[in-house]
Amino acid sequence: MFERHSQLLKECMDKIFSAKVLVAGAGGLGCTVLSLLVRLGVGTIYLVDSAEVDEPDLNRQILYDLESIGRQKVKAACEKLKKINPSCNLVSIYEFIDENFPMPKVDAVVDCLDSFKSKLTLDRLCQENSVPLVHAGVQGFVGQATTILYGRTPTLNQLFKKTLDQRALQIFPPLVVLMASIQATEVIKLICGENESLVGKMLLVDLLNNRFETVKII
Amino acid sequence: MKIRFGNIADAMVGVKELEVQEHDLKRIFELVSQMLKKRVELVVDEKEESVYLLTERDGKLVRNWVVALCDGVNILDCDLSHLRGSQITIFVPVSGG
Repeated sequence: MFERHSQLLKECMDKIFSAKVLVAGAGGLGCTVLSLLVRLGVGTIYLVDSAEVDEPDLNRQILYDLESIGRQKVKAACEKLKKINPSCNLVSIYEFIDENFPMPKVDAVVDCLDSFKSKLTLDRLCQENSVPLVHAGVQGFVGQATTILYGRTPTLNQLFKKTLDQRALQIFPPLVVLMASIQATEVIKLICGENESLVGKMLLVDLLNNRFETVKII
Repeated sequence: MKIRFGNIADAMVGVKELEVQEHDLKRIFELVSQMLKKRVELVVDEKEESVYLLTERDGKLVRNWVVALCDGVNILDCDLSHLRGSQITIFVPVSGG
């Protein structure tokens, strides 16, 4: 199933097949990230979420449908993903990520969580475990993304300091898919050792006004 | 010093970018306010580790939480009266997933 991208990624495909990635959150960002990583051939994926599918999720959470409503997101997502690529080792964890979360040994963690509180907790967990973190956040028509390499780039906690959560009730679905696609690309770049990534840069996207800018972060 | 207003902050201020010849934060935003003919201020609360963008809307002052980076470093970690660098970027990070 990989013949339409294996020539692009060449010898890196073997690294992708043996890679282990944890996707924190199986909501809007998480669904697209999971779908892409499974289709790209990532060997082992841990998916972590503590929520159930709700009807308003269906506008952007592409792994779910009407029959998924009320089910654990991790279970519904796993079933769908297994149908796409049965060779992917999927580990579903129905759990809220807090300071005590036992982080498995992985090559990268993808931040698809939906609050600053949980994002900053995940940042601290990744720092403790020295595992790269691919961050993104979305709201309305805007989003940001960066890749954190601990010891080389500032942490999310250093960048955002004391954050204020604004509950994002309105999110433009194509923005979510776009930002998640950027996250999945960053994961592949980390696995393949590509230099041109969002390490040391924050990508700011304003989809309504077609603005894409990167800001250096030190 | 270039002042860039990124995600959401640009809508609050009404411009994307300005340039002023100044390195003191208070003075920078006095000049920005003069240029835009309305009050725009960056309030740095070091105790709370928070930065707010004050803007005028319909004659009222509106305060919004933002992140400000001076050449990629959070402005809370900078000397505000002698900002070294060539660009301040102000934006509102979003947390939705």
